[in-house]
Amino acid sequence: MSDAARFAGRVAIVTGGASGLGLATARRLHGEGARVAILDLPAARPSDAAARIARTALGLEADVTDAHQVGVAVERATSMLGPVDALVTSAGVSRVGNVLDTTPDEFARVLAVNLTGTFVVVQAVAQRMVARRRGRIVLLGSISGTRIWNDRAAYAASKGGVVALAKSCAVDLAPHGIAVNSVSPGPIATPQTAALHGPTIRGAVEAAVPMARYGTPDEVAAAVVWLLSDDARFVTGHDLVVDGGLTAAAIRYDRGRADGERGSS
Amino acid sequence: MSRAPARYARAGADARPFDGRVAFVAGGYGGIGEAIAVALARGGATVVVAGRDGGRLEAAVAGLRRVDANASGATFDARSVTSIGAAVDAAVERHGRVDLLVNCAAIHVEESVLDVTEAAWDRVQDVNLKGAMFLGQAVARAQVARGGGGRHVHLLSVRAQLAVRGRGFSSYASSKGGLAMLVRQHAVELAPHGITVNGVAPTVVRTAMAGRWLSDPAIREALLARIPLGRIAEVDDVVGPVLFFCGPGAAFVTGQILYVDGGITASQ
Repeated sequence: MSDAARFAGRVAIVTGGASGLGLATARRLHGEGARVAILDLPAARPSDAAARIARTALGLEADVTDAHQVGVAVERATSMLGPVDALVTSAGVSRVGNVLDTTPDEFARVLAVNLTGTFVVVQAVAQRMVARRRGRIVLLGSISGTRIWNDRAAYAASKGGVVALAKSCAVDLAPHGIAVNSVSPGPIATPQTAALHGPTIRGAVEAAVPMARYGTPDEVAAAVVWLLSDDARFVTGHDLVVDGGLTAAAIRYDRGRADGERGSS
Repeated sequence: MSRAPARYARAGADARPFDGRVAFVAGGYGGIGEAIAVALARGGATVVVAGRDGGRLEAAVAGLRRVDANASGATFDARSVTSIGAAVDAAVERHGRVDLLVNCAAIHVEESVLDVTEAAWDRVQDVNLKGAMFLGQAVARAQVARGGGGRHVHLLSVRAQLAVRGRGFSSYASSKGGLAMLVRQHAVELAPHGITVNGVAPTVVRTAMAGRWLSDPAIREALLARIPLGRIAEVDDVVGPVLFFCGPGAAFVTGQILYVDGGITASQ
């Protein structure tokens, strides 16, 4: 029996919801009964994405680095759908570049969207949740925040900040009845990674991940939605990692092949 | 089954995610273990309750059968590898498979660092850590042989990460800290077989066992002061996370310890 009622009557905002993990999360929330608003840049066409999910889903055009635009969008979601029960911040940008070649402007841009933008959205929504003494928030982090890929300096710094921000929000907002957690995905098959990962990176990922594959956007969405549900009600300030065992592991190799090499030497 | 109560009928997008699955719940008659066993049964699983005390085992199985669950009991001693193997083999023989292992078997002996005895230390490590190792091994052997993957969930404690000031927790905290690493190692070794291994680490939960301790106002207030969400965990708060790791939504989650602590580990 499929049960669409877990989020029946609840309102959710998903930033960066027009594509990738945000879209998968918005879709799943709608599937479980939530009224969903997708907030994204005008160029990402959030209204089109919303229309593809459901006639009742709302598209909101806003740049998360602009507190005024975010405030207007959150107000619009509240007046059209009702008070916000759940927030997912998935808006983010990725930039390939190492410590030596990333320019200060590039670094600032990644931090502005991924970290400051997350803060701006959380603050705007949390201020409204405080009055109702309820709400659940999930910030999309990344295992890059704690375990380092090469050539991801700005991205890693921003996501490490997001995971720490989630814990700060959890502690500051707990007395107001609001729970805040982060979900940190490992390598996930999204349009973004499809464009960025060629055969070399794909091979490295599949060799490093104990489950030997990329995760799917829906596997991340399932974790996000679970943290937004009542089943996670005593969980706050936690970083839930969805990575096929990558961060639990160190070196992994094919034991059969290694035994063969040892035998032949 | 239409009589599934609302609480667990709403536990996921799919109200019966464990239909056709067999769960082996070690320590399944304790306050938390029994609630997990019932929740898995209501989610459709056949449940094998395993534990040392035959009387409590029978009572737990009878309780499960009253809610129409397909349930059986398996007596075992978590300190004996032979006994663990026999209990898991018996479950596989009886039900054909074991898909889900939930390990709630644990003991705690409080002794200050100056007074820890070898006997108590060994007993705590044997049940909490050695038991987990060989339960995981016995269930994984059956799962690898069958080739259908599986899920293992071990119950830990915030004491896997945080020490306790002014209390004698050497044996317990180190057993749970070791178990956190065991979860990661099992996860990595078993991932190629489609088996996930995760841990759920609660703070003090209001069970019958903790009830007496929590009835002391000084202890309760001191505890509440440390919990950002400002309340004591209930058994149901722990059940949801265990079901998540056992369910279809957690297929790519392995090697994780989920803290169910109202924000304690985030703030300390």
